[in-house]
Amino acid sequence: MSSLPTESAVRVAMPQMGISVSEGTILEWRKAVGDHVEADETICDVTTDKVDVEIPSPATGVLARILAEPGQTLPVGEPIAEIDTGDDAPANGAKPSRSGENAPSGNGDGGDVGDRGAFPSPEVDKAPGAGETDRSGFISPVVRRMADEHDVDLATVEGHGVGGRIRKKDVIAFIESAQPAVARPSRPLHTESPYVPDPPTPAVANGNGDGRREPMSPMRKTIADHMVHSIQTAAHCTTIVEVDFSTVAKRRAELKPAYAEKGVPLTYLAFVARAVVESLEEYPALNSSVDGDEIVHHPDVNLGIAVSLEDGLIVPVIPKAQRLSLEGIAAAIADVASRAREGKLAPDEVQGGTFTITNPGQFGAVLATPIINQPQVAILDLEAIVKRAVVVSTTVATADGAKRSSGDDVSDSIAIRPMGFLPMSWDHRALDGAEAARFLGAVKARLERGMA
Amino acid sequence: MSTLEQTEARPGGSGREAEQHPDADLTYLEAISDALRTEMRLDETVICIGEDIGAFGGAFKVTDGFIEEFGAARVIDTPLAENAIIGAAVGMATEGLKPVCEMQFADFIACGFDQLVNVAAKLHYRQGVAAPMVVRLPSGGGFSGGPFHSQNPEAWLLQAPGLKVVAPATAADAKGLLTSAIRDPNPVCFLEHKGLYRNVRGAVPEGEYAVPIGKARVARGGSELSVIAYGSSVHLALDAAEELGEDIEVIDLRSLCPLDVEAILASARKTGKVLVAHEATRSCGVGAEVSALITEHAFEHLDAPVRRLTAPDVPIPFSPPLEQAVLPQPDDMKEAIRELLAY
Repeated sequence: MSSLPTESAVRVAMPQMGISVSEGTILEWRKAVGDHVEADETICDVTTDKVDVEIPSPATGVLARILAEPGQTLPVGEPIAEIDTGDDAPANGAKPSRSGENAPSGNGDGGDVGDRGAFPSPEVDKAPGAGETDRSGFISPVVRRMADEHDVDLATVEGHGVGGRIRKKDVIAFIESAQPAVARPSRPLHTESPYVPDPPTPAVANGNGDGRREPMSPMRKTIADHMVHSIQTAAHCTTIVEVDFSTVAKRRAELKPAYAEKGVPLTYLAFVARAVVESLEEYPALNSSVDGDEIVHHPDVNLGIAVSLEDGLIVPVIPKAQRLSLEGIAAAIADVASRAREGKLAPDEVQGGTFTITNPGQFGAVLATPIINQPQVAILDLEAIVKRAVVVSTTVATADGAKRSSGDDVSDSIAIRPMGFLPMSWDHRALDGAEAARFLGAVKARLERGMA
Repeated sequence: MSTLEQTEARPGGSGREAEQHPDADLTYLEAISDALRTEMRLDETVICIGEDIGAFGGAFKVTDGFIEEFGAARVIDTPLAENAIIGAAVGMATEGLKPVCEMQFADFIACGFDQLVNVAAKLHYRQGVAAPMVVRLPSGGGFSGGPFHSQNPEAWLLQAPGLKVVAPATAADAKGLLTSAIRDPNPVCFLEHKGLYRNVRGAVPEGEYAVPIGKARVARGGSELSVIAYGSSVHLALDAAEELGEDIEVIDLRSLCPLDVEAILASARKTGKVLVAHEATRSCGVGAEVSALITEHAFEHLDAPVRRLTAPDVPIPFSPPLEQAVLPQPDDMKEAIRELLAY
């Protein structure tokens, strides 16, 4: 272990303290630079994860240099000090360290080094550096957490643990003594939180720092409350049909100029609304409400039309819509929509709806699953009408005029048609899928026939 | 299966009624005999098999009088061949019996290791066949038994998935856990500490009595420091806590596989300082596992490093003073607790 860096100086190395020990930490120097040391006299204490060891001087002389400070950890074999043997010791007289290669290894023969004697004693972890170094700066996990939770400035807490360390106990005592009247009642001192396997991922984008915050507008708040209430109340289910709007488009082109003269804009929505109202009379289950354990069937179709506003959404109601013709519905939609955007609706015009139509298709959307407008049981969604390649079947007249079996008389071809989806969310508490599908089928059939 | 129904009819693990099942004052060893005898009387598929357990009544007299009551067909004396004992038990278990093997000393499990860890432990995994068997392992030192008769082999067993491992510390748990071990459809290793055999006694419910496997016991409640222990170390911890007069919690694990992780973490979170104590050697032992669990799942509740009090990684010496030096002693326990309290 020891070597001779110069003729008169003997190097002291970190000794091998056991087969499995690869490093040691200087605890304390018993000798200062300049002190005279005898061979085998202890010059410093070293600790490892297994044992504490006294390091003897390999030679008689003067402690010339200290190469490792207390607390420093060095690999086995690294120099920790130099002894100047001067003239009073033979240059070659370094005796092998007792803790060096001749020391019993901590593992192989069960021997322990140091003052524990020749046999091993039960293994107990020692508190690192107990009572020796200032440990007031070390903060344990629980102390850190409790200080954060209770806004405790740890610099003001007196530590009573080893080396002045602040213990959990000290923090509890500090909190209890600090503000007995003010701080305590609101928050329990220390809660036993159940173990959560994965800590919640920090919300980077929504973090406290960056995003601009603004309070919800009253309308936003109302919509938020209604939507959450609905999704938590109704058993939402969405059924979708696809409608060929060719006939509607044709009818609309025919009727539009005459309507325009009367100041009535004729939209696809008006056709859909009319088809819905007629079909609701045929399938009244869709024109109802759920009230507790009862289903309320409504005699009139009070048709809600969702109108999007700059900062929200409102659903004015067209009462007794079953009494209105296509023209009447078209006029009513135009009327409520314009007044809704101007903010001129009367309070009772947004109440009492029995079925709602929403029309995000005007913005190009092709599919959605709308949320039911409570306490209604269904909401129908008119999506964008776009040209799609579809398969159309036409009946072919045969030469003999007789119909043949198994579809030979039907000819399929691909055509370009204005198509649109009608998704409808409905409340599975009030009705079942077959009823919803039949209703949608009726709406589809009416639209594909071209209405009145 | 009638025994199973009877267990379920009395819910709550400790499930017993004072009138029907008054407590008897038994030693740890008598409690083990009591559990065996009770289960053998209730269920004729329960069989004992081992060396000298019949005519001689067992090296420690656990099965004293059994051969007279149950006959040589159910109390089977074997040659000195642990692999044969456990191998035969595996065969019995797969054919519908519930064998309870006795290793004369836990150390000898090494001779039956292949049948235990490779056959019994993996039978259900490989072939879907249950092996409802118990291996009783008289373990531990403290009586100058030397390196072949004093070991605590639990860590070997815990590395064999498929085995359950229990280690009771009290007479009542010795009976209750052995009952549960016999009724369990898995191979269960039952560590019975020889040092507790005649030194520990207590109230033991009479008649059927089962303690669920996998549930730790709070042997002593406290809030300053937790000693998590099992077997003989529980008593070491309880005595030290009593003598020191400090607010110390002692958790008796009772079951080493499955471990009661919830109880371990709850206690660690409560006190923030944990000493894990066992008589078995240190490295890769139960203490290492418990310590790892705590640092993984309760780190933010810790006020000190989790520490261990164990035997060092050496064989158990024959010489009494040397053995005392190796096995954790009352003073070691007190010193470890004091140091951790002061931290």
